[in-house]
Amino acid sequence: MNSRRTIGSRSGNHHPELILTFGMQMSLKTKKYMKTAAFVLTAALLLQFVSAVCIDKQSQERMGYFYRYPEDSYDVMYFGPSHMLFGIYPMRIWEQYGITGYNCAGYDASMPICYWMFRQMIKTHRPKVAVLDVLNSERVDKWWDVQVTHITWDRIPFSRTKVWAVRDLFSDIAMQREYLFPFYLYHNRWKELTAQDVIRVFRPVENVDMGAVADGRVAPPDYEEDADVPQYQGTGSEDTVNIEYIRRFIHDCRENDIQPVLVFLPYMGVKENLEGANEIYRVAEEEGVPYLNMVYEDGLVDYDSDFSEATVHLNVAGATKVSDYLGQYLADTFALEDHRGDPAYQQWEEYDRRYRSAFNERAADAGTLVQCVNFLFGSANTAELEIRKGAVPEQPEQKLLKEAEEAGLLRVREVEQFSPDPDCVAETAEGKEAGLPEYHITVRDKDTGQLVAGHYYAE
Amino acid sequence: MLEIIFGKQLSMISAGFLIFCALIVFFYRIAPGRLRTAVLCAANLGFMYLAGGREGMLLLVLSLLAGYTGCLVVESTRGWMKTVWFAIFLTGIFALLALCRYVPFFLAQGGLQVPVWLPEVPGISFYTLTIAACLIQVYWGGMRAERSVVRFTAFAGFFPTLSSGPVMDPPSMLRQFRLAARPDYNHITSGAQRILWGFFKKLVISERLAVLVNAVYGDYHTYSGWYILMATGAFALQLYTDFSGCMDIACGAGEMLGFTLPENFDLPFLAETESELWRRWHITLGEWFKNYVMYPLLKSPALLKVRELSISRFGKRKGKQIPPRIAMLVLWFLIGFWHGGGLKFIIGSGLLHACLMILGQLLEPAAHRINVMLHVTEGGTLNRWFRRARTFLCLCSGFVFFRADTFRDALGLYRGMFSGNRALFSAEGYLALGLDGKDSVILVLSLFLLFALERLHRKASVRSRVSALSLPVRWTLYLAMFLCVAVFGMYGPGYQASAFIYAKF
Repeated sequence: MNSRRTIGSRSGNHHPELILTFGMQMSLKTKKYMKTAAFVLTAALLLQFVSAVCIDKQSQERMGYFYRYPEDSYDVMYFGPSHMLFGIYPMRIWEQYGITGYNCAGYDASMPICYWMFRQMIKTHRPKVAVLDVLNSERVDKWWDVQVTHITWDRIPFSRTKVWAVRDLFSDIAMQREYLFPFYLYHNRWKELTAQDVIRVFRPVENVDMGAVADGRVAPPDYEEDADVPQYQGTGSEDTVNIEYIRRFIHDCRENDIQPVLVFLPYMGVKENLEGANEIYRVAEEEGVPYLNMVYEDGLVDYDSDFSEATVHLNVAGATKVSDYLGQYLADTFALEDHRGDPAYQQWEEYDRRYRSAFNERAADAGTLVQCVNFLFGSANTAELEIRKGAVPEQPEQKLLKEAEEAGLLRVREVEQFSPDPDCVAETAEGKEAGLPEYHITVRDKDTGQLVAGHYYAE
Repeated sequence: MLEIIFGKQLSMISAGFLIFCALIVFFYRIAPGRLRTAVLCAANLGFMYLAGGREGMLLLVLSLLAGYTGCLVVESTRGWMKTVWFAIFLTGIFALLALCRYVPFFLAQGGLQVPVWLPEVPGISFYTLTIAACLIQVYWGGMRAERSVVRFTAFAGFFPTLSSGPVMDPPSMLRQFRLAARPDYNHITSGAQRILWGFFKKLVISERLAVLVNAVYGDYHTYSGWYILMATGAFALQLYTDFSGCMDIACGAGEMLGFTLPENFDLPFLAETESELWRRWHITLGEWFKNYVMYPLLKSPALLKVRELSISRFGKRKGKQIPPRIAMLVLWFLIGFWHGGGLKFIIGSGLLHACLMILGQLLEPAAHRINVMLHVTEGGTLNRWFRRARTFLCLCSGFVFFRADTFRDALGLYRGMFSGNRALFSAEGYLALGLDGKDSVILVLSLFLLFALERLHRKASVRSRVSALSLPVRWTLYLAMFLCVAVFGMYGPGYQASAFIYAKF
């Protein structure tokens, strides 16, 4: 007697037809479920791919590489609005002090936005020190231009922290949706897609500046807007919502064994900005954290030549100085190890090589003389500038040229005519008539003497 | 997180609805026989809560209770009390509709403030008709009153139909809900395909047409002449794809749960007369009014008396035609009123079409004589397309009123049609409407796809044809449609996928 029971059989006898039928039914049912699951999975993967193609790539360029570097590989992480973004070069700090870092600042980022950036970043990368630029801490709103926040946030993966952040910042459901599911916003980009959008899904562009943005322009300041506010003169008011988030930043740093540092980068701001910055002295004292208000560091930057576009952001020359200043402070205060030459940080030597290569490319692509000179700062290059007799550079450019000369980056001489140089690119200022070039600059690697860039400029 | 997924008001054209639907299908599928109806009942109330808030759910519950109780009471009474109870409950059911839809309208017309406690409830006009139909059928003896309040709620408040219909006919539909058969794999996949098609029609086609229509109707003084003509035709297509897309979603969701809902559209643009048109457009509404208004009206003592008088006055042949025409005018007045209390609906969605139908009937002999004189082959291809074009123009004539903000604006639009403005025919003039070249290409291609598939569907179901294809081809088609909706759909910031046009009713 067969001990094996079959369906519907009480006696335990075999019923081959039943076994076969039941087996086929089970197989058909399982097959259907598996087909459905396979279809749904295929649809989800396709949607994920299409989403990656459609999403604006600026966020990937800014923050994409953050996640590629090993966890906990940053000694310092920098947070803040665009002043920090343009003002601190982590790779310069690496070159000078062997301190690793990433610039996590964002365009028009309020303190609440910076706080939530910090919360999301430290989930995977816990630094020893976190630096926060406290610009606009006097404002009472949680955000003011969130369209540019997409550039920073879109690349951050979906997570519980991101949900909390979005729900805390935006009361509007539609905005929450577009931040948590960027495809909801970007699917409209199908009209603008190019082959690059597809290529970039597989080969993302590396951000060699470790999140920072290098701007080579020079813009003179508007001294009429210069507010002369004495140091320590604050707003005298109670904590704003932005200050509340600064405090949360400090507390969360401490909970995660991270040293918080508050900074205010050099800025020719209005009275409200400067008083707001001064109010942070009180907050820093109450919380027992260091605060560097660089507005009152005389001689740190030159307001005539170290800023781009209306003295809002530091340019390369200014950011190099400020990065050196901050790097020195970090190295002295927090005893951060100098990792240069450390075999465990060999990868950073390679990052540095790419960083310098990028600076060389920028010098080679510079459309104006001032940009070309600006990219000497923080690079491993020097340059020789020939000025046609009678040509007079404009004021901000003059100051920049003098700075570069004094820093030993540039040698200037006046000539009757230029020595011919077939490797030089002839440039004319945009919108001006092409005329005889007035400047001839040759940029070379300081150590090897190899030609990096050569330009003729009309002005 | 739930609010992010479902939104403040759950809409049928949302990812939230798809998730909701999938969850209900799952629980309905795994529930044992007796519990399936309870699952549906809970789903209906849950949907109304998400779509219409607490007020919406409360109103639905009140309407359902009025209908359910009314059916039981009417069935158990006899004689004149039966009629009294019937009148009381029917009045109560329609009073709730009047409170939510017509009281605010008339208050606004009178310049009075609408009380904040008067809620705007989506779809109340639709489920009210279904509930009223149950009561009327029980009164007539056409069906037995449903004893189970759970089953009554599951049927009369069936969530896919709550937003924009279809209006369900109780005797045939209730049978399905009494069976509550477990849906099989084919039901679920077939229903899902239909929902996808509905999303395509709504998001890819209807919303694109809306850009053109809104631009013209929003500023018809600037966009006059050919703009108005184009926009009115576009609105006909927009309304069709919007409403039929919604019906595809509703029927698809019903199919996923194992129910076959009645169709609301049957290729209406192929209609050759006004009468035929309204047998192909919003079919269930037409059937409801025909069964519960028109026929009782024709049998009413008043119209029977009119018939007698007409025959004695005008003779049998002509006299017999008068009562149906009076009934038609009353019917279409009510249909127009059902769309909205305003004159533009009463005229544009009601009396205008009645007049066109009556005119069509009156002129039919003359039209036949003209065809004979011109040697036109009636029933020939050219003649059929001519009649279809004529019917389409008649349809559009009413849509000018339907789409215009007010009756006065509609008259202004009619005047503006003859301004001779031909700027539409220049690239600049067209692009000024807000739909760029790429969007226009997508619109034309998707309209072509729509008409091609509908033409194929006349001969045999497109879904059946597709399921007969090999798996790789099938999957490619389904995934291509899915990605089309995801990428080309007009939704997201900058777009406000307008709530289904008929969900306002």
